Amino acid sequence: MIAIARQYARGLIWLSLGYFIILEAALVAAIFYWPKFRDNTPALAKLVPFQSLQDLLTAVQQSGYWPYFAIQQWFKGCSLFGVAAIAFMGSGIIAREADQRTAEFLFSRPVSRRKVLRVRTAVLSFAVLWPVYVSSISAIWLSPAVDEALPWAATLWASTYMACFLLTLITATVLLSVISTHQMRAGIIIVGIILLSFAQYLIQGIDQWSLFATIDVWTFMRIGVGEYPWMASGCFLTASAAMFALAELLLKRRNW
Amino acid sequence: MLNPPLRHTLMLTDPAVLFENVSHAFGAQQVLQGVSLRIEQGEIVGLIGPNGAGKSTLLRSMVGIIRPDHGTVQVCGTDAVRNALEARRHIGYAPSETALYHQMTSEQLLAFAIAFHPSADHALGLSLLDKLGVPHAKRLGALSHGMKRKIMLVQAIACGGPVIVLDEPTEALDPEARRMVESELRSQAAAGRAVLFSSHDLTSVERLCHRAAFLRRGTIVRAGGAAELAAETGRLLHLEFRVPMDRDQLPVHAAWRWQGQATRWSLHHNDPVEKVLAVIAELPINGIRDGGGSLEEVFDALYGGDAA
Repeated sequence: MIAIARQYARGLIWLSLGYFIILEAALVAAIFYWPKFRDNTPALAKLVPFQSLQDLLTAVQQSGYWPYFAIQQWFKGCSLFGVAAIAFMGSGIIAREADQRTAEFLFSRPVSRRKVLRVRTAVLSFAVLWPVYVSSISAIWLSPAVDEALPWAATLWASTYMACFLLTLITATVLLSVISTHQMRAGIIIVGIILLSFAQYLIQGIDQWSLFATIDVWTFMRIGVGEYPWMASGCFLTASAAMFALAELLLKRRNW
Repeated sequence: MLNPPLRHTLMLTDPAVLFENVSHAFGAQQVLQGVSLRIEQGEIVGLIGPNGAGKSTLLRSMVGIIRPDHGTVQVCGTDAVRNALEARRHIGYAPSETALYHQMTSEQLLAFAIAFHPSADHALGLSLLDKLGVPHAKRLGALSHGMKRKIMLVQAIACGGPVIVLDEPTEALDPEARRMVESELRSQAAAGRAVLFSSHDLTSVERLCHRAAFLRRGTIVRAGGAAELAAETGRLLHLEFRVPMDRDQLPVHAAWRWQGQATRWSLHHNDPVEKVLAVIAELPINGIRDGGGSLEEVFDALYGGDAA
């Protein structure tokens, strides 16, 4: 098990670090931009063309730093950078073996395909999720620099909710990777789904069916007042479990 | 020598590998058809056949890369289809594909490849890398095809299992490396390990193998020792004529088969050489060479029609 984890992690370490640095850099910039943003929120709200984005700014106007931080860190940072990280790191979890013709070598070892998939998915999940927690926690220490405070509990709960959302995308990517023969194809499909979903979020009337509706500012504002969205988290985890079970089944049956 | 844990799992009467009536199809294409083959402990067996004959598919069925549609594959008494994981613990496998994880070094790949085998011998692997001149710390992406082939061979041997399965092991190797590999496989067989490999290098198979099995369109058409196979196949004469000859200018006999064109022809026959020479004496022959009893002649006899 350690050998599989080590072999797979070797290819992810720098990508995961790079993802963290980008996430952290975007977050630091956002935190230090907050005073200027706060003063110009009413003017910005008038400039934004989409109703859904205007609503986000209205929330910031009414409730201050927490919704602003939620938009910057989770709605924008973790979802968009996270999806990019998942596409880069996760699309190759199995498809890369087919792509680079190493599948026969790997799957002829006396280790089950199920174990390979489980260990690799665990490594991938860790590589994608630790930056979410670490960058969010770093914001707790950085926020006093702009005379704001982030509550520990709410920040951790929000990070956990975001982790559940990303886990769904991770398992979707794993499933795509298991059935793909090209890493690029699996990556493009997952990025395409997310872009379509974001476009959907910007169209009034169908925006509530977008994936982004589950991680918008209103969700995090509820978490901010202690109302954790258990139902949505349960749905994310159930979907993840179902997609992962399907991925295991398909991998078991796949000929190389 | 086999490591003690695996030695104890093997009964002396068990074959190392047993294929019984194995069939497999990829869609409409039947790749294996009722293949049966038994390989004893300490035996070296070569699989021979043209491209697409089913050699690699047969080897892959041992390690669970494909599941045969019919038949059984046993490795050291373990059903390799139903209990693939257990069977793979007995096998050191080197696929024909040398694509490897480019970012790893050869030493890292060796450690990874053998990590799952209960009787792996890491020290043996390192010493074989040295012996074959493979740099330990160089990334695989920077190594030549031949070097990668050597690494594949080394990891298969260092896995320590009682069965070594190699798909095209001598492809891309220089003659010296080839001799070293042959010598190592001989000593592994002498220590009780069974070796099954596929190859297009017939001289290598002839030098190394106790037995060879010829596959044709997914079926074993001939199997046995090199001398035995050559004797069964009949005799072969290579003839060079002074002038180009057409097939209808050559003498016809029931058990004779001519192959060739223009001034170079080969004659497969089962008659005493004296009788053959008496018949062809009137032809404008420039030179005659006895084809001998090599596997190459057996190959020509078996697949000559396929090539035509």
